[in-house]
Amino acid sequence: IMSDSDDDHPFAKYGNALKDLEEATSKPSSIPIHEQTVTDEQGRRRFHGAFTGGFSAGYYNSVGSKDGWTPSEFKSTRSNKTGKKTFTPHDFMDTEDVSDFGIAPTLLQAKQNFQHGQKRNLINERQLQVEEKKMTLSLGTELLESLIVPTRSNIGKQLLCKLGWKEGQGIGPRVDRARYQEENEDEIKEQPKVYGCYIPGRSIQSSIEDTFGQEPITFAPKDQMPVKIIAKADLHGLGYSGINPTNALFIKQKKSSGVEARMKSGSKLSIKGQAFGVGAYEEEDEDIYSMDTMENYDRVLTAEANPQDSYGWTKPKAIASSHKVEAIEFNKNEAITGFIPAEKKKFVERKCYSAPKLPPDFDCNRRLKLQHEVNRINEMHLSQPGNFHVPAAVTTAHLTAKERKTMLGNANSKEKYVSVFDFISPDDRNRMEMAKKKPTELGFTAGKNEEPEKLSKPERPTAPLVDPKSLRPFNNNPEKQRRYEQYERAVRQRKTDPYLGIDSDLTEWERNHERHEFSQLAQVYSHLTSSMKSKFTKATDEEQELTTAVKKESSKHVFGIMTRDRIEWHPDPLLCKRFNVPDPFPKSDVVGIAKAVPNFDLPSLKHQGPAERPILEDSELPQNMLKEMQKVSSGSASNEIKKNNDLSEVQSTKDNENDETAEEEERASMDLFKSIFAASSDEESDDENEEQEDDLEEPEKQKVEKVENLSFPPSMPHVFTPVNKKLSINEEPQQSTSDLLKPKESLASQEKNEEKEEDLFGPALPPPRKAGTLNSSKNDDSFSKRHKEKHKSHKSHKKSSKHKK
Amino acid sequence: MFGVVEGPANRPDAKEEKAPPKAKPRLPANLIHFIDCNQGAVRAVRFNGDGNYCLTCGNDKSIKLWNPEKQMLIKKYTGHGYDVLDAASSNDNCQIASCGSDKSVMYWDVASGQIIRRFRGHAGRVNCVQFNEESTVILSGSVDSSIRAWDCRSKKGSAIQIMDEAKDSISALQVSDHEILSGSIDGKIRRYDLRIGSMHSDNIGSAITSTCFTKDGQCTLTSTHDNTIRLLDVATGEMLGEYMGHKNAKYMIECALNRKDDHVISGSEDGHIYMWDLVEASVTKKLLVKRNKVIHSLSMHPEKDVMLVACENKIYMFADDFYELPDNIA
Repeated sequence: IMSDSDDDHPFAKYGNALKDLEEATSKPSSIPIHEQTVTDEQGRRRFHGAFTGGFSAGYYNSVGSKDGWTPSEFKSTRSNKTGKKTFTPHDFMDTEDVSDFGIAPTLLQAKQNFQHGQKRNLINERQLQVEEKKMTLSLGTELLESLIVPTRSNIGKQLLCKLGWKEGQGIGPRVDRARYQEENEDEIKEQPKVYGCYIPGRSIQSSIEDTFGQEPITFAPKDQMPVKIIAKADLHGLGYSGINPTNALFIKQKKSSGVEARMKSGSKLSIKGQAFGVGAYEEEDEDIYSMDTMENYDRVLTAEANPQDSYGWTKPKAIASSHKVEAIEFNKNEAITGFIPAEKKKFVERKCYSAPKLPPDFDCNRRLKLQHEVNRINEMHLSQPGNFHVPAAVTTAHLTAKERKTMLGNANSKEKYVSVFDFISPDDRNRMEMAKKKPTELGFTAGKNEEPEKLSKPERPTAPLVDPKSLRPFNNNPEKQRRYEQYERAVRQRKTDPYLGIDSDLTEWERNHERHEFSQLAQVYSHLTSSMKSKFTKATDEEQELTTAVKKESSKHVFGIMTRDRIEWHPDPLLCKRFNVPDPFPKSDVVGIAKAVPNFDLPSLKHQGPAERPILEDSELPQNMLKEMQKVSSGSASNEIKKNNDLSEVQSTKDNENDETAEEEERASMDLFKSIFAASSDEESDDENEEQEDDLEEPEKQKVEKVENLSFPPSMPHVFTPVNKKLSINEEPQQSTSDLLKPKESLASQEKNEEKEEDLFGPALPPPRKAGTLNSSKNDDSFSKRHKEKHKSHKSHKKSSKHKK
Repeated sequence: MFGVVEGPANRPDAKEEKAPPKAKPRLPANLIHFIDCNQGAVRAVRFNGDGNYCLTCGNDKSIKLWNPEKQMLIKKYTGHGYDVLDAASSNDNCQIASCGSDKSVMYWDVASGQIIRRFRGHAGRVNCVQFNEESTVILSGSVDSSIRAWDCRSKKGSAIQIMDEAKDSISALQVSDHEILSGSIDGKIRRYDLRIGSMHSDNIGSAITSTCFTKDGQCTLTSTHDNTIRLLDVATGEMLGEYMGHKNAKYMIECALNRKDDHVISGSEDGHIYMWDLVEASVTKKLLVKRNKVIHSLSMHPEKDVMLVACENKIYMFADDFYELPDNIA
């Protein structure tokens, strides 16, 4: 309807139209029955049709996995052997089974012996009402007890029932009406409404009497509320009860905002409630207009202002207010047949005997005095060796260690031990003293005498871990090398962050980079040194000769200086800490014995480790030199040159990317392998080198001379030689660095000239930091242009080799 | 207790005046009883810190905790992969350190019997193990000729320090408050002094089987494979005494000093226990335990004159004349 009118009328429309009622309601019925599915609360299908298994078919309903039961996982029982897994039926149940309506609901339920909630007897009911009034925040066990009732009544109740007692009745002989009325006075006062008229002055009971005539009617006595005696389990004062929540939380005395009016006649008319518009069937809202006055709060400490409203926190519940505990009393005569009323309870008086009379000379402090006496005697006994009775402060100064020890009570206890020296005769002892004093006088002039002297020196300068000459990874960069040495020292001193103390003017990024680099390098070197240490030993043991001499000595039963050896040994700082001993060399970075490091070739082993990169980076500097060296040193240098070229290749890639990754490292090692195993595959690079050499002839001539001075053994293992040579150059750092810097500069200038000649377009090239490599690439181009024809054969050769790959 | 004679004072002049009156030395020379440990060959027997209990290291990969007086087995500790070669109790007796042929050093909780830590790192059989004075470090000596210090407090599995100065396997270890004494098969006693920061080595010449400090820490007692035990001065390395007569050329025989340090006691390969007077170096007692069997391990009670000796699969308890078994046993 609306849609039609919408188009016609140009009214603006706000909001969304309500959905059609029919559409919403008719939706469930629109699905045909065969398409409706039964799902449980997790949304799993429950009924699968009669032919596909009925209820709860499918693996996910009953079993753990598609294939059946989930196999229990293997768990090692090594750590807890005692724990034995026992299965309960619950382990095999579904969640539905454990839910409220399943086979084994996990609700809290009363045991079989108890019923809950259903069979409350009258007494309990009434008691509960009383209890509820007194109910405190700590809902006691009373409430629970009233809720859970035993199914079987106790024997007392059963007996009473057999005697004719019924629930709700009091116990005792039945009473006649008059008495019953007396007892029930208060209840009867509230007389029921009587419609019509009744004879004034007559109670209902009398009317009852009328109906039953003269027949004497006896009534069961009024049931007594048993007094519940609760054991005191808290530390509150007597009569204290906690806050009653109903009283304390819901303040009833709020001033209503109800309207009050006065009629003309003077009688008050008040209209309660919030508003006029609230209907009888509507629930009243909270009285929002009610005023919370200060009267509602207890502001003044008054003595019993209103005893009923003090919610019980401090005040003992008004004892004065009639809480009469009525004792059940019977007449002796009115005992139930078969029962004899108990005698009035008599307390059995406890017999108190008077305390025994102490003898007149009894001394209660006797034991204490005895103890004092014993102490005094002991002291006397102890002070005998000193032989003077002066105050302790004075005596101790003159006492020997032994005497002090005895005074301290060691002598009293079992004597522990005596020094072995006590058994030695004085002559021997003198001899020993002599020996201690001057070993040289006794005729021994061993070279080891120096070592004790060494020990007495305060602190050795911290020696690096390995020979510093052989370990200079950043030789071309003295600043960096200095930083690295600092770093390494810090590592050996076991600082938590060895890079922290190093001062440099690098940027944050560079510092991070360097830190990473250093850590890797240090790791490799430490690994190398430790592994090498254990693998190598000196071919000729100096000790061997010594020990033979020593053996002779010992065979003569002469022990002493000749057989003794003293070496400075640095305990680990942590070990000192654990032994509670101050570190003898707090600034030392050596642990153990500062051994002479075996003189193995470190760099040759570097290729195994990840520290390859930094070394390569630095190897670039004397690269050209090395080539010259190889030329000079050996005729069979082809292999070496190849290797070198590989290194330079790696170098160039690195220059391009300028950040190191693990891939590159791997690649470098691959090249290394190639250089070793794939003997003559890359001849192009060979040519490159030749070309390079041609170009750089001039500046390098000086170097050649320099290098020639350094004599190398002509025959060296091929793989390791180049690096070796580099290192040997490093052995003279002052000279070489200064010398090496010159050609570098010249190279750079040369390159600049070249740049000017060739007009380069595009973005400016990065500053020519690594002159050699840039040159090489450029040479490549020029070379290829110039010598294309010349090297055709070579190229074809290369191609074929590539095909092979 | 009152029969004990005080030793002479430390001052030399005091000693010159009068020689100490000789009294009958209290030596653990009476066999009280023996316990069949039921764990194969007993590799070592060790008293715990207070001497109330003892540990036996068995060939069957187990360690057993005993009350030697009551001959009662208290607990068995299993976890080693091969036979256990040595064990030590911590100063509070709450932990045990042990080592064995499985190259590992173990740190046990006494009460629960669980392994708190297992230190691996030795390349060979671990011969001896010791706690330091505060029981925060375990020191172990191995066939791989290294002594390793393991930290009980950290969870790192690596050793604090490795002392690999020895040229042959480490056979004996003892730790004082600031010294580590080790004996090696290469015939040298090495003493690492943590306080000074030095290592002293004394060349004895023959393979060392056992070494220990005297109670005052001034001398070391060392038994070697040339059938000799030597008493060396710690300060100078001079020999103070030499004790011979027993047989020790093949096995790792342990030696010890008695409680008063006036006698040297050692096992022997001929089935006897030998006791020498410390000064005179003469054999005062020779106890037969089992003929032609090796008495290899012995442990002295820290407070009483009681000694435990291991031979084959049994441990023997010796005590002095005044020793009485606790009431509930007698």
